[in-house]
Amino acid sequence: MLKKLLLSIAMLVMFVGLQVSSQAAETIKIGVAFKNLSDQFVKNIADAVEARGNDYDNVELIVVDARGDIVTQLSQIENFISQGVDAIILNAQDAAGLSPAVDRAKEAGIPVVECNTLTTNPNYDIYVGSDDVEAGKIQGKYVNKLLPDGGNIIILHGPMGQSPEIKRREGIQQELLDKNPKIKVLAEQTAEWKRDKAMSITEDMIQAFDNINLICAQNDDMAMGALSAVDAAGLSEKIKIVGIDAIPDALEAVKEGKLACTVFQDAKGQGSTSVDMAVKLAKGEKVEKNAMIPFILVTAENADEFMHKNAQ
Amino acid sequence: MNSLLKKHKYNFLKSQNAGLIIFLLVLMLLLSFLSSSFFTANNLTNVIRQVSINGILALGMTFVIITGSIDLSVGSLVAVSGVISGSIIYAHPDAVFTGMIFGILACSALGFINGFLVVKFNIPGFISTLAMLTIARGFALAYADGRPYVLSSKAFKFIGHGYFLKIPIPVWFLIASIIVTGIILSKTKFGRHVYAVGGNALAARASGVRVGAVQLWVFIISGTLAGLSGVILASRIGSGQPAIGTSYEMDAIASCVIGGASLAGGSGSIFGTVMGFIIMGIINNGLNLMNVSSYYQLIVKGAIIALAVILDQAKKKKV
Repeated sequence: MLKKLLLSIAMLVMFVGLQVSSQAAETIKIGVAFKNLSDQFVKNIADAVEARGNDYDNVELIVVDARGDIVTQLSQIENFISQGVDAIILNAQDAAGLSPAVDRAKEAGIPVVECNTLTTNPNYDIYVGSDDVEAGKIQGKYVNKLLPDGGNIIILHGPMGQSPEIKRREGIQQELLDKNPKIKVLAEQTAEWKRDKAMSITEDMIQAFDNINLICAQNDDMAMGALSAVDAAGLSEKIKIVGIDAIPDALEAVKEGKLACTVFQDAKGQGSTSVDMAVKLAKGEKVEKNAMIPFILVTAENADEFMHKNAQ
Repeated sequence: MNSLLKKHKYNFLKSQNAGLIIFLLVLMLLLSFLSSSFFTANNLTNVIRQVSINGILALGMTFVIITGSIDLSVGSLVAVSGVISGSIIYAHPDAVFTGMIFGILACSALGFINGFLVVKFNIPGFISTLAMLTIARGFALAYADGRPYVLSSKAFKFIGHGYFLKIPIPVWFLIASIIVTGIILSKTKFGRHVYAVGGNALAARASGVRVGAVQLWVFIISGTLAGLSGVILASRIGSGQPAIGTSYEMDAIASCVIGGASLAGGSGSIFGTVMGFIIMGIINNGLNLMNVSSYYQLIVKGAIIALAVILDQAKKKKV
């Protein structure tokens, strides 16, 4: 009796063990490291990553959030390596700071998809994202159209030194300031992507200058903050505002004509393409080095098309 | 005991105020020369509206600091109050009052937890509120699923953008908070006990002050005011944002310290804190008006905080 029982337990254990190991062979484990999930745009990418992951039967996602800290993200990547993931999607907090993590993953034979942000390390397998210079150029071109005879503008920056901040400014330089010398930049300040900071700075700027024609914000959160200030001062007829990202309430504002334009960055496209590429790499397939997801200009005419794309 | 308390009050009236007022006037005079748009009715209204968020936080912080403790959680509470009131007003655009009350009460409750940890488990306020800083931030993010509640309610917008008698509504909230906290701190028994606990908790206990209750209440007051500040901010930016308010506690603490509050406890006043946050606000505004680069803004701000406290200390020694 006891022997039989032991035997059946042993068989059961073996059976379960077999099941587990055969499952492990099939499942593709993807480690996904985000820089900061309290950032609305990153959160949009994360949602798209998870939705795409669920489309596959055999993909298991391990999603972690570095909450804006380089060291946290480095150790998260190390954890992925010791967990033996089949691929890593890295949304790097810092271009230089995370470049060693890419090497460590590659040494362990794990393919790396860089998503939305690039590290300075060229050894990644594929970059899925958009070129921020392009966003600045699209914005700059449209501002040039809005102010053909020149005008006075204020530029609200992201945190100084971050790659989108530098690149979007470069785009503005190329398409607006270099092409239209009659555009005068009254002031440039960083509002660190933040709505409340952008609002205070804009309130101060309205006091300092009575001849502002346009506020060029490097993201929509800051554009919306500037809008609060401009609205409250009753200057919405005089001062135009442009943003980037196409977040839901900015799209609403573009539709109502309160923001002159925003630039759509495709969070869903970036997120789902990253998962597709990670799966391909995990299976050993070859992929191109870059998968560029284009930016698109959004004005009152086409705002409706984008509503559902970045919807909450 | 009573004579000890009187001495506290006497000192604060005599020594600190003059120095702060002179510092503020010099600063304003300087900025008037440096920027032509500084000393205008419009800009001064603008500054006072801008400081209302930090000001209300700093008033609550004053109570905590006088008891010799600190509240690091207020920045996160601002976010909690924003998302809770935001979620209610998002769902029911007319329920502005209900939304605000729930946002504020949630923060009172979190303030209670801060105080409870301090009193019941004897954890320093620095630690209990440090824990709350991350817990409340996590709560706000989880509650809102990391996204803002975008609010289009006209009635709610009035709280942050409206005017009454040509004075912005946030400033009315600030004035009301100053009056209420000022009366509590300088005219009530509770207020005297707050100083007593910070001056010497053992002596206070020996003379019958319920130290635990006082410590609990200062955190509830700080939490409640953080809640009020949070709903005003949510209205100002037209959305309840879970990521808002990071490092607001630092500006609030700096305002108290500029105003003569000592982190060792026992000293500080509502008047000093008011001067403190006005000075902070004017520095921010002035630097923006002059379009000083943001790198240098950080340096100038820090230097002025240090200078204000050095002057204040020097003045105290003379008296």
